Amino acid sequence: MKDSLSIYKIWAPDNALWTQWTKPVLFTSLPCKGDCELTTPNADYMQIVDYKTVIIVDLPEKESVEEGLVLSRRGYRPVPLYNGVYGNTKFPMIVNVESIAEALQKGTDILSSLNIRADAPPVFMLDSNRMTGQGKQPGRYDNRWCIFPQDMPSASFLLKNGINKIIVRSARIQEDLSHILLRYQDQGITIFLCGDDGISKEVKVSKPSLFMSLFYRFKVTLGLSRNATGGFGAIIPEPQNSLGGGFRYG
Amino acid sequence: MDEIYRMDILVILEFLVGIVSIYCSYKFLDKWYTPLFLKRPLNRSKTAKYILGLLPVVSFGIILVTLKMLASFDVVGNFLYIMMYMFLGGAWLFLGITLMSCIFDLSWLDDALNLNNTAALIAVAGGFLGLTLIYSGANIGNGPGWWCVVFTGGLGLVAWIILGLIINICTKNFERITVERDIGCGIRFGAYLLASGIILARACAGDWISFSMTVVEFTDGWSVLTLAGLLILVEWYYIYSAKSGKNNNAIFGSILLGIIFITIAIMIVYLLPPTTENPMYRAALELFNRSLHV
Repeated sequence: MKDSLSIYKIWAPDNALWTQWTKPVLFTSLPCKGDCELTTPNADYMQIVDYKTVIIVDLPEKESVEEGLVLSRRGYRPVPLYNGVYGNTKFPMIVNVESIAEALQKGTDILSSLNIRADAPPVFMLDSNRMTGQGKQPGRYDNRWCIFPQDMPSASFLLKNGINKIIVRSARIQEDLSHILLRYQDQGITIFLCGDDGISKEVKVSKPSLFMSLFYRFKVTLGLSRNATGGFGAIIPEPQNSLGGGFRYG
Repeated sequence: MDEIYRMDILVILEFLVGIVSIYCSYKFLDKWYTPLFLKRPLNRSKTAKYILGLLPVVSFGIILVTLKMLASFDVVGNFLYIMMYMFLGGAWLFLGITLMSCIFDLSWLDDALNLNNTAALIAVAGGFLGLTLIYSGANIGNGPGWWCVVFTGGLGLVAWIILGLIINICTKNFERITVERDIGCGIRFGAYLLASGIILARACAGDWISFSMTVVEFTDGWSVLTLAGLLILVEWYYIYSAKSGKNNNAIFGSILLGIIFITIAIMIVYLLPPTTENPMYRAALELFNRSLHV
């Protein structure tokens, strides 16, 4: 069984252009099992690699990893952006990231057998359940998370690398993602949305609240639970317990 | 009797400020160093860890030297007072770095450490040292108590933040540093934050007379406006160059500009006449006196 560093290095090789955006959070504490079964979705919307197109897969749980792996067989570089910690505690997690962590573990076998080019276009993988569930519930592990413009490449970086089209593989564009997509759209990058029917349609991203506001990230992170190892995840103590404020290390 | 009562209250307040400062300094150092010492996650840059780890050491060194050599006569030789102002410095840095995160959207933890953003690391380092210098400047000169330091330093901090926001409105530099990871912009803005800290430290320094006179004397730091204006012009040039596709050597040019900003700031501090000899001060004093008579 591979250790977490070697698993991380397979997903984020040093020579790949997009490695700097890979989030190491889920690789920090992987579940021991790693015996999940991966299915192979069609992903017909992208049959061969297009060097001008970036894909953002925003699907629930391990589906995003599975879709990312299918696209990696077609020449894309999968980039995990999961930022919720796998809480290996007795407290139930608000966002179940276990299946994602297991799929990342399992996916290394597939990924290490592929020869993906260093400059291959990326497929960014997100969990669409990242903000599902009520936050800060006592006695639970709050690992809800959010994606910020700082977590993805800038529009100018994409344009500089010849990217002019983005396909979002998701049922809908979530609020946090729209902050990023609108920045891309404003710089002339075309956004497509590909739902469950597998057909890509061009969309106009509408302006989310607090767009380009300096306080947006600060306000959103206030409602989440930070983890000192990066990313989000912490035990929300029962009212009678005191686990202190600030960072939590659970 | 009233005088004794007043003295008692001041001593109690001083004690409370000391306790709060110790707590804030502890929280600051805990929050700062805990993520730096963790081995995980796997992608954190060692350079960022070393630079961030070194910043509080350098800052406390600067504050200590200032307190031992340039602070109020009753502080310079008093170990307890020096410790109190050191802890107050820790609380100050905690406040400053939090304000940088929430107002500048420039986070040492998220951008510089977790995202390995070099541009943000340089800007944060410049900002951290700028904050230190403003606090150190506020400690220079004689004064009756801690509130003089907080008030004069507060003036410097408010000016420093407002100018940062004005620069951002004109140049969108926070977005360029945190989202676009523009290293050149990070170098220039980091150098500006440090240079403006030097000028504002000079503006905060001096013997305490009164609250109103402190405000008047603070106008000595007007030259920071020139520096901010210069940075805006430079940033406009770089934005224009990027839009027109000119291939500038942004890093080398930015380092050079950063050195120029800091040199200008040091020259201003040296060339600026002492507060009482400054013609601008006299004019401001006259204006102030006239307004009192009116």
